[in-house]
Amino acid sequence: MTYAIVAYVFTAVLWIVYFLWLKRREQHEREP
Amino acid sequence: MNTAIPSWWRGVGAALWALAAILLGASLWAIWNYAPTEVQMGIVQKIVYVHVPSATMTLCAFGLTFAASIAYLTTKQWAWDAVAAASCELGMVFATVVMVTGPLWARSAWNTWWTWEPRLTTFLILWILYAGYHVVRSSIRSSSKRTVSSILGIILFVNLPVVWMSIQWWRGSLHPRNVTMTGEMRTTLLLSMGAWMVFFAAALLTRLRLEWIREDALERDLAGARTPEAGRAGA
Repeated sequence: MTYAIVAYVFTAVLWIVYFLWLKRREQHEREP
Repeated sequence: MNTAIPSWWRGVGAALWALAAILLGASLWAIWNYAPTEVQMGIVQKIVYVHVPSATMTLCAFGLTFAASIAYLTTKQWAWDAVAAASCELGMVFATVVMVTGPLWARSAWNTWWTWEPRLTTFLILWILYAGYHVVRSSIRSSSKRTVSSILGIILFVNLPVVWMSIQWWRGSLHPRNVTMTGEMRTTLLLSMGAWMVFFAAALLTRLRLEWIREDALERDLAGARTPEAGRAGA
C-alpha cells in the first residue's frame, strides 16, 4: 500500500517540479 | 524566418491540457475505484498503471527525438531540432518515473530493490545515455550544437530496440514476456496509457514554447548585430 502511494506521489511531485523549472527557464530567457 | 509563437498555439495547448486533466483524473479514479485489487500482490500492483504508461511514453518520446533529428539533418529547420530536444527532455522525466516506480514494484514482487536483469540493466543504460544527450547539448555553444545533437539523437535510438527486446534476447529476465491483462484491469491500463499520451502532447507544446522564446531571442540578437549602429559600436 505504502509503495503504491509513494510511486504516485513521486510521479506527481516530479512533474510539478519539472514544470516549475520550465517556467523559471522561460522567465530567465525573457529577461532583457 | 518568422520565429513568433503563432496565435493558435495557446488555444491548442490549453485544449490538450484540459483533455489531459480530464483523462488523468478519470484514470486515477479507475485505478483506485474501478480496477480490482490484485489477489497476490494487493494494492502495490496498482503501480503498474503509472509504470507501464511511463515506460511506453519514454520510448515514444525518444522515438520522436530520433525522427525529429533525422528531419533536422534533412531540412536544417530549427523547429525539428526544437522538437527533438523538447521530446528528449520529456522522455528523461518519464524515464525517471520508470526508474523510481520500478524498484518500488520490484521490492514487493521480487523482494529486492534492484537486480541486474536484462530489462532493468538496459533501461538504466538508456537513462544514462540520454542524460548524456542533454549534457552534450548544453555544453555546446557553437553553431554545430543542433547538428551534433541530431547525430546523437539518431545514434542513441539504437538503445530503444535493445530495451524492448532485452527480455527476448537474454535469459534471466524477471519481466514477463507476455502480459495478459483482462477486464477492468486492461481497461484501466488503456485509459491510463491514453491519458499519459495526451499529457505528453500537451507537455511537448508547453516545452516547445521555451525553444521558441530562445530562437526568437537569438534572431533578435543576430538582427541587432547586423545593424550599422551595432557594427560601429563594436569597432
